[in-house]
Amino acid sequence: MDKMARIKLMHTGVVGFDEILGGGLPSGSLYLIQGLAGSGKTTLACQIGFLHAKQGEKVVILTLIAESHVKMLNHFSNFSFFDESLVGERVMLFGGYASLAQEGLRGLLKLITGMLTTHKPGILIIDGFRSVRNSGPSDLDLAEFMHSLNSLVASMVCTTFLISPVEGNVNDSENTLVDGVIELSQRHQGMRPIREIKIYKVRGADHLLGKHVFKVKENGVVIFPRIEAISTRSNLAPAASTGHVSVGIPSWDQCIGGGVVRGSVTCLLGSPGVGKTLMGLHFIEQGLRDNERCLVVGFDESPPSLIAKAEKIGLELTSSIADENLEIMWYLPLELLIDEVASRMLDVIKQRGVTRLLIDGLDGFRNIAAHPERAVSFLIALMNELRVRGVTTFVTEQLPYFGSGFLNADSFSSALYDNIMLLEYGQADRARFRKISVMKLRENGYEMLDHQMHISDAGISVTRAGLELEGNSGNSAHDRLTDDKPD
Amino acid sequence: MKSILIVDDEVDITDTFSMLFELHDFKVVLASQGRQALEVLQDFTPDVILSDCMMPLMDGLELCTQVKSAPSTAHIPFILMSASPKQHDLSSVRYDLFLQKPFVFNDLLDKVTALLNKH
Repeated sequence: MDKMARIKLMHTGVVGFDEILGGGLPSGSLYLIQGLAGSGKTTLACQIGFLHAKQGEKVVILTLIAESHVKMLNHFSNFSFFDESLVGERVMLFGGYASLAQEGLRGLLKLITGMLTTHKPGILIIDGFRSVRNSGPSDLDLAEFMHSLNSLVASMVCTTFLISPVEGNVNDSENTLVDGVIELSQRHQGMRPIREIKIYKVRGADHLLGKHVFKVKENGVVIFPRIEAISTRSNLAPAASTGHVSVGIPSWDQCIGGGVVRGSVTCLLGSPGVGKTLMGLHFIEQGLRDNERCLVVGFDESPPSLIAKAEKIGLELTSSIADENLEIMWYLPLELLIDEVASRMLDVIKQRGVTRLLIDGLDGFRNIAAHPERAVSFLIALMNELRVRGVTTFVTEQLPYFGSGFLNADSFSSALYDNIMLLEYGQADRARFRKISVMKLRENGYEMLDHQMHISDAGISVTRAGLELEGNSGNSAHDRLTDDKPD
Repeated sequence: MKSILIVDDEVDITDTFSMLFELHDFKVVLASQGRQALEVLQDFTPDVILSDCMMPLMDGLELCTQVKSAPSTAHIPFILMSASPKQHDLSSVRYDLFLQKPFVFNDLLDKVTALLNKH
C-alpha cells in the first residue's frame, strides 16, 4: 500500500492550502500555527473550523489569553466562511485560562479531556497557546504536557491547532512535540505588505517547502502556491506535439511552415507600437474561428481598448466574450502577486477548457513582481504548465528584452519560449516600415529573412521580402545580438 | 453588602465584572464553569447568580436547571448571558433574566439591582 494512503488526510478547504500540503493535513494530529500579531493565524484556523462545521463536523475553539469570544465572533462575521447559526451548535467557544491559572497544566489537560469526551469534536483550536509557556512551567512539565496532549488528540481523532504569536522554528516543546509547524508572516517590500505562509514540517504529508504568498480576502485566507514548487514536484513533461495551428495571418503562416506547434509558447518581441498586440489578437481570433476556447491576459491595454483595437482591423471579439468562448483578464501592473495571477490564469484554463492564450505585456508584469529574483524561474514554470496543459500561447514582450542585451540571456529564453518572432521597424529610402522575422521556431522550417509586415483596416498581412533591408539598429535585437559582446 | 456569583469560562469577563461589581459594593465569588459553581454553592449562597451559557463540562443552562431544582438555591435570581442567544433552547430553563453579550456594565448593574429589589 502506498505509504501516503495509510494516513487519512483532512482537506482543509482553504484555497491553495491543500495543494502546498500535498493533499491535506493528516487527521487527528497536533499542529502549531504560529505568527506575529495580525499574521492571519487565527483566521486560518477558524476558517478551517467553520468550513468543516458546515459539513457537519463539531469544532471546539478553546481560548486562553486571547481575543474575547464576542470580539472573535464579530471579527469573523466579516468573512463569508462565518455562519452564526453554527455557533453554539457545531462551533463551540470555551475559555480555558481559568483552568490553567487555577490548576496548571494538569488542570488544562483535564479540561481538554473533558471537552473532547463531552463534545467529540473533529477539530479543536486552542487560541492564545503562548499562555501555556507563560504560566511558567518547567521545560520538563511543558514537554510532558505537549506529549500528553498529542496522545490525547490522536486517540480522540481530533485534529488540533495550537495558535501561538511567535515566529521561527525554535527548539521548544511546542515546536518539536507537534506533528506540524505552520508559520504565517507579513513583511514589507517598500511600502507594500506581502503575506507569506511557510510549512516548517507536517509529518506524514508530502508538503512543499519554502514560502508561499497569501491574501486575506472576503472568503478568508487564500493561498497562492509558488508555481515553481508545484511544477518541480509534479515534474510533468509536455506531451509530444500534435500538429500545427494557424496564427491567424495566412501570409505569415506561409512563411513559417503553416503555423506554430500546437501547445507551444511563442514570444512576439518588438518595439512599442509595431503590432505585437494586433498579431496576438489575430492569433486569438483564429482560435475562436476554430471553435477553441481562448483567454487573453493583459497587463497593458484594458479590455475595452483591446476590443476596440481588434474591431479597427475587422476582428470581432464581443460576441465571443458574451458566448464565454473568450475571456479577457486584465491587471494593472501595480502591486500584483504573480502567483495569484498564475493561479487565476490556470484556474480559468482548466474551468473553461482554454486552448489558446495571449499574454499581452509580459515585461510590465515581470517588472512589478514582489519577488524579482523569482521572475525567471516563475516564468519558466508557468510556461511549462501551459505546455503541459496543451495551451498554445502567444506572449508579447517589448524590447529591450534580453536584460543586458547580449546572447547569454538565451540560456533561459530557450526554456521559456519555443518560438520567437521579432517585430521591428525598418527603414528604406527614408521611409519607415514594419518587418517581421523568426529568431526561433520549434519543429518547423522557416526562412531566415526579414519579411515586411503591413497593418491596414483588414488587419495584418506579411509580404515576403527579397530585398536587403536596413535595420533600425536602435531597436533591432538582431543587431544588438550581432554586435554586442559579453565582457 | 450584596453578593454575586459570576460563572464564566472567559477570564476577561470574570475579572472585569468582578472588579466592577466590587466597586459597587458587591461581594464577588467567581467560578469558571458549571461544576465549579455547584461546588461553590455548597458553602456559599449568593444574592444573585450571573452565568454564561456556553461553558465547558457543564453549561449555564444545566447549571441554572440544577440551581432552580435544589431547595437551598431555587430562590436565587439567575441571570443567563450569551453572545449567541439563538443557539440555546431556553424553553425549559427557569432563568430570571437573559442578557445578550456584549452589554454595557451599567445596564447590567441596573438590571441586577432591579432583580434584587424585586426579590
